Amino acid sequence: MTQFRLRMAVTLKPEVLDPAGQATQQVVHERGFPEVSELRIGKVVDIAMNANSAEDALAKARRLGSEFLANPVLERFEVWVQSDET
Amino acid sequence: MKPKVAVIRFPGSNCDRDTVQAFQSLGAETKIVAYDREDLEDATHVVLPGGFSYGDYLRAGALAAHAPIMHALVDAVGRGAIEVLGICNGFQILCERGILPGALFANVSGQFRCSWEWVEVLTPPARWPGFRRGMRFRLPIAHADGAYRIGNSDREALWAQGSVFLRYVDPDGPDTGEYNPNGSLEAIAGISDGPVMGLMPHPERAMQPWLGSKDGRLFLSLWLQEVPQ
Repeated sequence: MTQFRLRMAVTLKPEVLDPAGQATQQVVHERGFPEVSELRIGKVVDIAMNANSAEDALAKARRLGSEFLANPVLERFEVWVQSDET
Repeated sequence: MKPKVAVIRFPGSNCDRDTVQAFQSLGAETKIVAYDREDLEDATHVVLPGGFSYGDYLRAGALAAHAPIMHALVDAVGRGAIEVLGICNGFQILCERGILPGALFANVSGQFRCSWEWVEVLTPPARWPGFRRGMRFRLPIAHADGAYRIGNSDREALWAQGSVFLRYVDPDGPDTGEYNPNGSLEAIAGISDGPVMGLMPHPERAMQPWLGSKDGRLFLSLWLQEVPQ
């Protein structure tokens, strides 16, 4: 077994309005970054897990993402392996 | 059979005692059941109260949706053994667990909304015939994540199944169907599915005229299917 470190980015689907992102973008403009044309806020979940292979670890993490960590009505997620420690 | 009401207390619930008092004032035997219990005992009616269970971590209701008591609740709903009411955070928990369809997301205004609202019965739930179409209730809302959302593919089914129970209405303005305090899809304030009902407003906070409204008495009585007092 190897310990894998994975990172999952949970983001709002593009069609979902993001009030937190909009409010933040407004303040970003006021702070002197008017060129920022889009700002959307999501979550990053860092996961460490033991698995036989990177594929196994990714498959488990994807199940976790679709069943629990992301809400399929509003969100989508990507997950990738950051590193492994033998 | 006399109703036996169980109000589930999760870490971070804060309307549990109000809800107990509301049902007791209607004469119903009511008690609090802790989230980490694995059975509902002899409850006939289960209420998931408002609050901020687990601090709204991950998403509102997401962690409470998988608390030990929820396995018993899913099981009892499947057996047709109980009727369930989710109020505010309780509604969010039911959606997160997939017991009710859809999800509740941040109010479009980006603001926490704390106000008195009028809600109207759009589709009377088959299970609760006392709620008649067009019936209105004046109830308070207090939430940051109350905008009801559902995937496009499930949206038609929601209407076809008669699940669209309550919507917000503007009692002072023309009935344009556009009044919407939180940006909910079609101004939906509550939905029902079989023996399960969820709504964002708080009927338990509208039990006496001096609280601002006593419409919650009628609402909760109809849910209990008891004669309103």
